[in-house]
Amino acid sequence: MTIQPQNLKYCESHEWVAPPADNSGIATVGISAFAVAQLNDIVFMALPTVGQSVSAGQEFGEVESVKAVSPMYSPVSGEVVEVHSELVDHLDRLNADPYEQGWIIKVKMSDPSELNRLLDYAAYEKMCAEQG
Amino acid sequence: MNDSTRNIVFRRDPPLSGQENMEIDDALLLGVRADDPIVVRIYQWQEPTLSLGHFQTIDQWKQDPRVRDVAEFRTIPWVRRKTGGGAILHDQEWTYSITVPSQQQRATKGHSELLYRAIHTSIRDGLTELGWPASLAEHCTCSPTSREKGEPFLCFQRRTPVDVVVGNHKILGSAQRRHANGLLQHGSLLLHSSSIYPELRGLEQLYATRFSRADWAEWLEGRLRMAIRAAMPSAQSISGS
Repeated sequence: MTIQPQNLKYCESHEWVAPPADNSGIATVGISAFAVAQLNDIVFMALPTVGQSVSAGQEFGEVESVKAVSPMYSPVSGEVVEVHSELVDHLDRLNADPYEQGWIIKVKMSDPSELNRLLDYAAYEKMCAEQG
Repeated sequence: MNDSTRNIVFRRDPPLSGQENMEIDDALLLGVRADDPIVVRIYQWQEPTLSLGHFQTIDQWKQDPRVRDVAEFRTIPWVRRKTGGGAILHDQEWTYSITVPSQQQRATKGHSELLYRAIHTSIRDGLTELGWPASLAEHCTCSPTSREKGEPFLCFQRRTPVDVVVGNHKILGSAQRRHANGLLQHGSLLLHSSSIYPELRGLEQLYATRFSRADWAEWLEGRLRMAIRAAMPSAQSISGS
């Protein structure tokens, strides 16, 4: 699987989702390079468990940077089918590559049409530019 | 943090248990709505209490050899904060919490440097105006792999940039928590060392000052008011302590 930022959908809260490349209905979720830069020094990440339900726009995990705890919001609804548990011990991967190496969870989507409500790359880049 | 006009409410609560103090702050954050005022609480604790950073565990504390050997450490009441960072032994100090409503929270991750720096700078400047030297820390004991390297468990043994320090002694530490509709910042102003952890010294020892605790609370409230106005110029106080 190759994850290119240009091919992803984004939340205003800076999570990305890679739509399934096949008919599995399984989307991959992570946080953007912009979010990683905002967080600055990530020291911990709390992740959901396999089998847990997530809802679009609701928290699915938390990330701790040196001075704050921030929620991570799921871009889509469904069931968590895989968790990148190894990432918790290698958070520096998020700095190096928040997409390919830094994916966080995989979700079996219950409503793929939710993808249509998310920002495409151009719109997300524009929003980030406006935030500075 | 650049929301438009916003009122500020200050409240000074009587000493409460750790659970009660954290329940109040949690409720303020989780219940915050876009049009709510900024709420500043200044408070103390009924008894020496350990508050853990959001992701810390009490087992980490109990694994410390010193804790294993001292009954007061093993039996100290503890509570977990919504905010991150290291554990704090709340005893001879004033604690503050600031809850800031914001419609922009979802679009922001990480800490608000504007609020964090404004508060710490205000405290440093206030101490300096009183003729007492204080500065902002520049280095950090943290890193993405800090857990493996054994970063100190207690907040006041850690250093992050902008901590307020007097020489080598940290006297103010703060941490934040973002929520969908707001931001919570906790902080502790260390006034005197706790008898059960004497090496962490407070302002009263470092400056040999005779300020009363009430004076310190009044002073802290004034500095927080100035800091919030510096960070959010349109914010207005609508009630005092």
